[in-house]
Amino acid sequence: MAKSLRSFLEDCRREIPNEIVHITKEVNPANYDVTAVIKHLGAMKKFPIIVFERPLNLHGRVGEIKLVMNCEISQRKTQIALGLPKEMNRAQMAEVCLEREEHRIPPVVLDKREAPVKQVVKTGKDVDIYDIPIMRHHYMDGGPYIVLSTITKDRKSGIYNCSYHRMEVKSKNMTALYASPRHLWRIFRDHEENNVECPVATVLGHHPAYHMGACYSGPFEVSEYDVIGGYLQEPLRLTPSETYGERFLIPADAEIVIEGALIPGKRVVEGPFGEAPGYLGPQRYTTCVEYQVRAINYRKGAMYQSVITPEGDKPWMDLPREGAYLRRIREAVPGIKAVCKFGRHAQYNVFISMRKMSEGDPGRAAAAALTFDHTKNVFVFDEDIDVFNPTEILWALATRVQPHHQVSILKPLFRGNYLDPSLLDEIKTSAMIVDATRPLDRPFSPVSKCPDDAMERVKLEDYIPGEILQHIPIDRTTYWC
Amino acid sequence: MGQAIEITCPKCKKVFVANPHMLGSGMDFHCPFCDLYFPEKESPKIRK
Repeated sequence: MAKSLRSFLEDCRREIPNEIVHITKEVNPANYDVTAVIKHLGAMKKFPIIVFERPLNLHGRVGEIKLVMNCEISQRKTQIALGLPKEMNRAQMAEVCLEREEHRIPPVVLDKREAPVKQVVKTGKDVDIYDIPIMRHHYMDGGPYIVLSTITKDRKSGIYNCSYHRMEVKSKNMTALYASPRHLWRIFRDHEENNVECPVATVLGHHPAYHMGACYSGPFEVSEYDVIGGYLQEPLRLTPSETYGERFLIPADAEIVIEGALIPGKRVVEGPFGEAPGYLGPQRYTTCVEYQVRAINYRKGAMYQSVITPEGDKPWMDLPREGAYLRRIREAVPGIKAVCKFGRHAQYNVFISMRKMSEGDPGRAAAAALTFDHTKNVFVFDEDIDVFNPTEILWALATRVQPHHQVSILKPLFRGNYLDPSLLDEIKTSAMIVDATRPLDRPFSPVSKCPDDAMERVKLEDYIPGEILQHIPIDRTTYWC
Repeated sequence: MGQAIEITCPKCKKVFVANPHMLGSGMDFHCPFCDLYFPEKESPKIRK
């Protein structure tokens, strides 16, 4: 059976049955009900997959399409999606992402009759995205929003690009897609300059490995359908779109795919929208393109999938990025151990751990990180620092950094992110490099520790019986230890 | 000038955020609270 959202949910039911919750009570996603449920759970540090069985669609009725949330949150779910053992740590998982991106697998094409996503097809006047239970995510959002990955195709090379873009639902067959200046924008602008519409599709539910491959941040010339095959460890199955036939292929095992065209010369006001950095992205229009929806394809019993940012840890989205940073920084310097890009504290921040072989290596590593994505602040640590542990990060900053010597502020030369509310310029940002590594050219006090042989020799159970140890409560209030 | 300006809706008087490039563009603002589309000159208050 080809991998899909359904196969992933089956895997989770088997591996983590307590982390799938079905809510049968009616909810209105367009009135923040779903956001509130997830925020309440998040405050309790609980992030189960939630299947909303009776969500209202944008007509205000319970329809045939369900809503699935939280598939992207937690390391364990991502391990299940990638078929990895639960013992694997975060840095090892990023290495797996790198390997899978390097071992790409080309897709295969199915006839429409064999494609599950073609079980229901609506075109022409029957197109109505109001039939989908689309959410309003946050207070002040401009409208209901779709946030999963969108597919476009380069006119010249024929490569497919998949990338995440927010889009505000404007009518039953039109959205406003906000395109940040990356690969999709390049593809759209090429169509626009030639005054032709740009074929487009958006996948509203698939296996998490599909979505991880869609986060790929490598060279433009790589077809991301191949990358997704690498993540899935099997060829992605595609099928012709309704609008363009075999000239534009869509994922055959998706839950829902909307398809249509980005219209050249048309801009639409869009936003505000509560964005990944945790702030409202302001209303705008310059890179907000009219997306005409011309067909909706979906499976019987379809599940619409969405995500709320910045709720919870999202390895889905951050792991491929951590892999991409590893690739770039290793090209600049040897000895890179791990890169942390996950969590709200890593928005625009990058945390690197490395075995420093020469003074200046941390600077090279930081410079390489600054060439990628929306990096603003780079923190470089020794290899003994776990860059996924904020306590260790702050400890090293406190004890290994003399600010006048190891903090460098760079002028606003860098393209930042429109969504960074601290920007003073429309797009440019300054940057900071913090070298928190110990010096090689002078003595530095060693870290205090219990001798290794003592740790090995002393078995805790010889001193405190297991039945007593298990009843000693874990102190969850000591965040800073 | 920063990344956001505050626009007051002429109908519901609620305030929302927009990018400064909206000013002088000729594009109507869209109130996320009452769904009104309105030109810049109709906003009773714009805080830059």
